[in-house]
Amino acid sequence: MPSPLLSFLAPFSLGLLMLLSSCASTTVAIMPDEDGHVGKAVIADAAGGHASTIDTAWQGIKLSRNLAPKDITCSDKAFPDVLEALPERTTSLTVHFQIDSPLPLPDATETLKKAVSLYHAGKLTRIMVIGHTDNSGDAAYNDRLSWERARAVASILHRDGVPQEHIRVEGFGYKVPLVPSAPGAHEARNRRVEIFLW
Amino acid sequence: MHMFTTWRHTVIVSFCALLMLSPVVLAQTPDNLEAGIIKTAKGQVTVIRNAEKLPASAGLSLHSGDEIQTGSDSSVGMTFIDGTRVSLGAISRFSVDKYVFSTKDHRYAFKMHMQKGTMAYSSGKLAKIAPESIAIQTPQSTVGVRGTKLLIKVD
Repeated sequence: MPSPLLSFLAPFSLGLLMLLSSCASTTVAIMPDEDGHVGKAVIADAAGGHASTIDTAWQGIKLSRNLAPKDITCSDKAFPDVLEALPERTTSLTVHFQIDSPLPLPDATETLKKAVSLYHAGKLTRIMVIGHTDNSGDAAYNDRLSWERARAVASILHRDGVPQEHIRVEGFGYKVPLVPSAPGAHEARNRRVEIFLW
Repeated sequence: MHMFTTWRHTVIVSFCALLMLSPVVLAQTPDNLEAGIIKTAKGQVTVIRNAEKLPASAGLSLHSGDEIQTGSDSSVGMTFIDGTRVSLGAISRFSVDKYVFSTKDHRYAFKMHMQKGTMAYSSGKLAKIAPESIAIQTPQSTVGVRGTKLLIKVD
């Protein structure tokens, strides 16, 4: 036999549950990044039936179950603790290379020194070293060369005091050029390694 | 012929150069590599990994599959290896369903699940290289992003 208290409470808890589920909602708002740039977000409802795009600063969408999407205007005041907890933005430094060479140009020395000091100055900094090539040579050769360049830079950072486990190496070959160029083109600006401090 | 000689010369020079430098052991790139780290933690922050609850503080590595929870009056800030930054406010539940950043085989993915609470998202390199690989799922929606900063609230 159910307890009298439970029988008494049941209708209320059911009502509360219904109230909660009808209020269940997602609000998504867009804000300018540190450079003032506003990107774009596409919000598709769970059923995949409707998609809303937001691309203006502080524009937002609220999606609730069984209700049409609602346009809202947001402000940074709405989320003070979250924005305060967002980690600092990342930093990138770039070193350049001779044609076909995996060794950084002599003028990279200062940049490499700066990377090491930024690593030490930062809190919990990690480094991703990302190699790139220009568009001369075939794709397989460029992929390999970009990794060689990144590994060479990683070795110098490690030698100068950055722990190996805090360095990750990646290589894009020619796939992410700074300056898109024709096949076979020598382009000094694309022969680079990005030291990405995150 | 000249081209060939130059190429071979380069290979030999680069090989010797790499031998001279102290070698950085190249980590393999399976998907369970470190995806990011916790940079800031306030109050009660828990990471659930393989059904185990880990008390989390700044410096903890994050991996694909991790769920991050915050208690009342708590918050957490995370940075991922591509520079994507995510923070959570109080009483929030968020998981990294899948994180892949692998230039070697061009595989990229960042699938997030925001189940409850408040979140800020600031995009990193993935949004430039493979924007279609990023999705934030919530109980009511799926959010796709194109290089931006977002605020999300799930209640």
